[in-house]
Amino acid sequence: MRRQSKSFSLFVTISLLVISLVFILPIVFCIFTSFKESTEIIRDITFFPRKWSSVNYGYIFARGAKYLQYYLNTIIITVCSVAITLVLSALAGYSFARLPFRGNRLILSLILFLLAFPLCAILIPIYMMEFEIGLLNTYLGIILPNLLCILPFSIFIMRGTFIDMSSELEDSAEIDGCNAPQAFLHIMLPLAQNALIIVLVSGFYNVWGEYTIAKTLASKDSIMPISVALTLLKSEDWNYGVLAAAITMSIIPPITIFAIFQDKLVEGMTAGSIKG
Amino acid sequence: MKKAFVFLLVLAIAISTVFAAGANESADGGKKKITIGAESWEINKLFLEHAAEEFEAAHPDVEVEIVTIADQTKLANYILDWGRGTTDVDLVFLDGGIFSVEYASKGLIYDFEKDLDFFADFPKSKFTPGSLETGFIKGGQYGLPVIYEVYGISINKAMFEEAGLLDENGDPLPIKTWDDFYNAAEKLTKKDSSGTVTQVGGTIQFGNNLHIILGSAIYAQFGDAYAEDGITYNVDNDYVRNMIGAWQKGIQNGYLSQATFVDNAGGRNGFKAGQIAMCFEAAGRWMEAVDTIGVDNLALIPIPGDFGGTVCFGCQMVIPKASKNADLVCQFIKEALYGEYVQVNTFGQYGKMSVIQEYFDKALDETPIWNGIADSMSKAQPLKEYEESQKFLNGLNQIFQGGLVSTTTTPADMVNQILDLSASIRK
Amino acid sequence: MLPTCIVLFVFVVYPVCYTFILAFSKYNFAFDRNMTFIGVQNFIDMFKDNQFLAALKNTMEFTLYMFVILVVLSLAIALLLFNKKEHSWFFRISIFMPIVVPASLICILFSFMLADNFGIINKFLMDIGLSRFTHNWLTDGETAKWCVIIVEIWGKVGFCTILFLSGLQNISVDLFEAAELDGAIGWKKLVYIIIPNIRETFVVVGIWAILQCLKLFVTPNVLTNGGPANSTLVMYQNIYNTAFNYFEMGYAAAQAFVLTALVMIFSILNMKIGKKEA
Repeated sequence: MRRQSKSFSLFVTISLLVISLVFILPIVFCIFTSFKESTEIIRDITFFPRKWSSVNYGYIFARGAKYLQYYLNTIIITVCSVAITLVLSALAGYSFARLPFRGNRLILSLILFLLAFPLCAILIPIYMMEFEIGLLNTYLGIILPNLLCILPFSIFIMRGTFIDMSSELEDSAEIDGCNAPQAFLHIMLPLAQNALIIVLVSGFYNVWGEYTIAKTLASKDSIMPISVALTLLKSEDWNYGVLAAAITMSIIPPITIFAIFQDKLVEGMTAGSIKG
Repeated sequence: MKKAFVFLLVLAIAISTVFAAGANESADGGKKKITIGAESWEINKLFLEHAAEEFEAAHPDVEVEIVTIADQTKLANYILDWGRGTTDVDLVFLDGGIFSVEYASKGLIYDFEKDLDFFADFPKSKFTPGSLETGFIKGGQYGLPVIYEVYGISINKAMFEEAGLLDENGDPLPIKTWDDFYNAAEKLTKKDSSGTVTQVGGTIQFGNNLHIILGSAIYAQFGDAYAEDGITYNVDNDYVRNMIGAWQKGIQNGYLSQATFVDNAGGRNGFKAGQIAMCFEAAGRWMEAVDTIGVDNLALIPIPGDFGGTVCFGCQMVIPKASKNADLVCQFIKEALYGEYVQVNTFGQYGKMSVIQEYFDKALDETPIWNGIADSMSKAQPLKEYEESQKFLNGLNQIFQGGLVSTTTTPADMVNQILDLSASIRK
Repeated sequence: MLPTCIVLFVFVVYPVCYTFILAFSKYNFAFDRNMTFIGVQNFIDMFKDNQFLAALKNTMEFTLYMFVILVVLSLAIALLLFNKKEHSWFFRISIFMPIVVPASLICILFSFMLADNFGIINKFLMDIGLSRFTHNWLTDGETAKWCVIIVEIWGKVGFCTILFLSGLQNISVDLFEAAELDGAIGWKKLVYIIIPNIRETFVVVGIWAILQCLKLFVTPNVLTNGGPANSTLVMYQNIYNTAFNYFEMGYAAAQAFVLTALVMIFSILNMKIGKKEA
C-alpha cells in the first residue's frame, strides 16, 4: 500500500472534518429545532434548545397513529421499486453491452429521452391512464411511475459497467462450459456489484423522499407514503418546530439502515477494487 | 451481495401479493356514507373532525369520512374525475375561489340555491353581510362559505409605544393615508450602529395574496375596487400611484420588509418573531402572534382610506354533481358546520370569522381586539374572482417585486404595467 | 424480462405520445372542453414569452455553475475520502446524510435559516459582531441565486461523491504502485493516473449532474418560489406552473419538449467528450 506523510494525512483529516461539519450542521440544527417550542424557535433564535420539549412530536402523534402505516407504505414502495430496478437494470444493461441486437441504438436513445423528459409534463396523462385502468391508489400505481424515473439512469450505469469489463473473463467462462445466462449470473454479476450498489443507493434516494408522483396518485391513507403524509402536517404555514420533527422522523429510518449497513457498503466497494 | 440480491427479489415477489390486498377498501354495508375532502389546515382549524363526530352521534345511520387533500394539484384531478361522473368526495373545501370558478364554468358543481334549494329552511338573513357573496360565482351560489376572512393591519403595540405612536388611552394613533403609514413605518424602524436594520416598520403581503392587498386598498379608498367596466381594478388614479410610491420608498429605505417576495409566510413570521411592527395581510394574523408577543401587545387597525371598508374572502364548500348524497351533505352543513361549536371556536381560536351572524356576535364579544376594525368589517365586500386569477397574481408579483426595488421605475410605470397585465388576462 | 419491459413501455409510450400531441395544441385543462390543433404556434409563442426566456436564461446559468461546482467538489471530497483510511465511517455518513433528507422539507428549513429577520444565519452574524455582513439573502436576486445553488449542492454532492469513490476504488492497486515507483506523486498522480482511469465515472457523473441541473425544481420552488421577480425561475418550475396553475397543458407540453431536447443535447455532448478522451 501507499505510504502517506503525516502532514498530508493531517490535511486530509482536517478538510474532511470541515466538510462534514458543513453537511451535518443543518441536520443537527433541524434535530435540535424539533425539540424546541415555537417561542424559542422564532423569537429567541437559539441553536441549542434551552428547554427540551416534546410538544412538536406530541402534535404529530396526536393526529392519529397512522404513521406506522405510512412508513410501511414507503418501505413497500421503495423496496419494490429498488428491487425491480436492480433486476431490470442489470439485465438490460447487460443486453445493451454484450448482446448486440437490432434496434439496440434506437431503444437506447429512447431511454435517454425518458431520462431527459420532465416528469411533471406527463403527470396528468399518467393520472388519466391510471384512472382508466383502475391503478389509482394502489402500490403498483405508484411503483410503476417511480420505476420510470429511476430505471433509465440505472440502465445507463449498468451498461457502462458491463462495457468496461474485459470480455476475456466471460469468454473463459464459456470455454469452461457456462452458457450466457450462467456466465452472467456467476461471473459478471458479482463483478458488477459496485455498480449495483450505486443503482441501489440512487434508487433508494429517489424513491424514499419522492413526493410529486405520490401526492398525485395516492390520496388514501392505506397507500400514502410518509413523504406525503408528513406534508399534511402543514397548517396554513409550516410551524417550524413541527416541520423539523417531521424531517427528523423521515430521516431516522434511512439513517439507521445506512449506519447498520455502511460496513457492508464500504466492504462491497473495496471488494470491487481488488478485482478491478 | 448476491444473497442480498436474491433476498430483495424474494421480498419483491412476496410484497407484490400485497398489491391486491392494498387496493381493496372494505365497504360498510347499510350505512350511508359521506366523504369530505379538505386540506389539513381546514380539518384542523375548522374542527371538521368534531363536526363529523357530532353529526354521526345525531344520525347513527350515517358515517362521515374526512380525507386530506395534499395540495392544490389534487383539485385539478377532480376536474377529470367529476367530468366522468365519478367522485370520491361528496363535499370539498376550497381555499379561495379560484377552483370554484373552473368547476362552475365546466358545470361540475351544484348551485346551492337553484339546484339544491339550500336556503328554503336556512334563510340568507342568518349570514353575516358580505359572506354569502364570497361564494357567488358565475351568476350562481356555487360555493358556500364556511368561514371568511377580512384584510387589516395587525400591529405590535409595544413597538408603537416605543415609537410614540400611541395616544393617551394607549390606542394607536390613526393611520389615515398611505403617507401616514410610511411615516409610522419610518419611526418604527430601528437600525444599529453599522446601519443594519434590527427592527422593521412593516410588512405587506407581496406574495400569494397581492391581488387582494391591492384590491382591498382600492376598496378602502373608494368603496369599489373596480373601474367603470366593473371588472378591471381601478388603479389609474393618484391614490394608487401615491400608495405605490409610499410602498416603494418604504422598501428602498428599509422601512418595509421584502420577506414576502420569496416566502409567503416571511412577513408574518417576522411579525410573530417580534421583529416587524405592522403586518398588512389577512386580519387574523395577530392571533398567531399571541404566544410570542402577548395578547396585550397586539391590536388591529383598518386599511388606510376614505371609505374605510375592507375586502373579505371565504373558504368555500362545493358539492360535485357526481355526488349522490348532496341532500345529506346539505344537512351536514346546516347542522354541524353552521353549528355553534365550529363557528364560535374557529373564530375565537383561529380568527377565521363566522359566517353566521348570531355566532359572529357571540365570538366578537369574547375577543375585543376585533373591534379595532369593526367598522371596516361591517363594510366588507368580496373581490371578483378572475378566471385566470393565478396569471394575474403572478403578473402582479413580477411588477411589484421588480418595480418596488427599482430606482428607475416610477409608480406611474407600475400602474401602466398593471393595466397592460389586466388587459391581457381572461376574467 | 420481456413482458415487464412491454408493460413499462406501454406505461411510458401512452403519456409521452399524449404529451407530444398536446405540444401542438391549445388546451386549457380547466376551461376548454377539447384541444385545438394549432401547429407550432406554442413554440413560436415561447420565444416571445418573457417568463419562458427568463427561465431559460436562469436554467442555463444554474447549469453552468452547478455542474462545475458539483463535479469538482465531489471529486475533491472523493479523493479526500479515498486517502483517509481510519475512522472514515464518520465522514462518509455525514457527507452522505443529506441524501436521505427529503428535499422538499429541508428546503423549507433552509428558507427559515436564511430568512431576513429571524434567520439563524443573520442572527449568528450579529452575535459575533459582524452585523454589517448580514444580508437579505433570499430577497436579493443575486444572493438568492447563490443560495439556491449552495442548497442544491449541499443535497446533491453526496451522491456524486459515492460515484467517484467507487470509480477510484476500481483503479487497480498495481497501477498506483507502478506509478509511485516512477515517481508520480501529488498532482502528477491525479492528472496522469487517476483522471484517465475514471473516465467512465466522469461520464456517469456528468449525465447525472446535467440531469439534476437542468431539471432543477424543488429547491428554487420552495426556497424562493422563483422570485424575487423571476430571478430564480427555472424551466422545470415554469412548466409546472403553466400546467398546474394556469392549466395551459398544451403550452406546458411544448416547453417540456424544449427542456427534453436541451437535456439530450447536453448528455450526448457529455458522452462524446468522454469518448474522445479515450
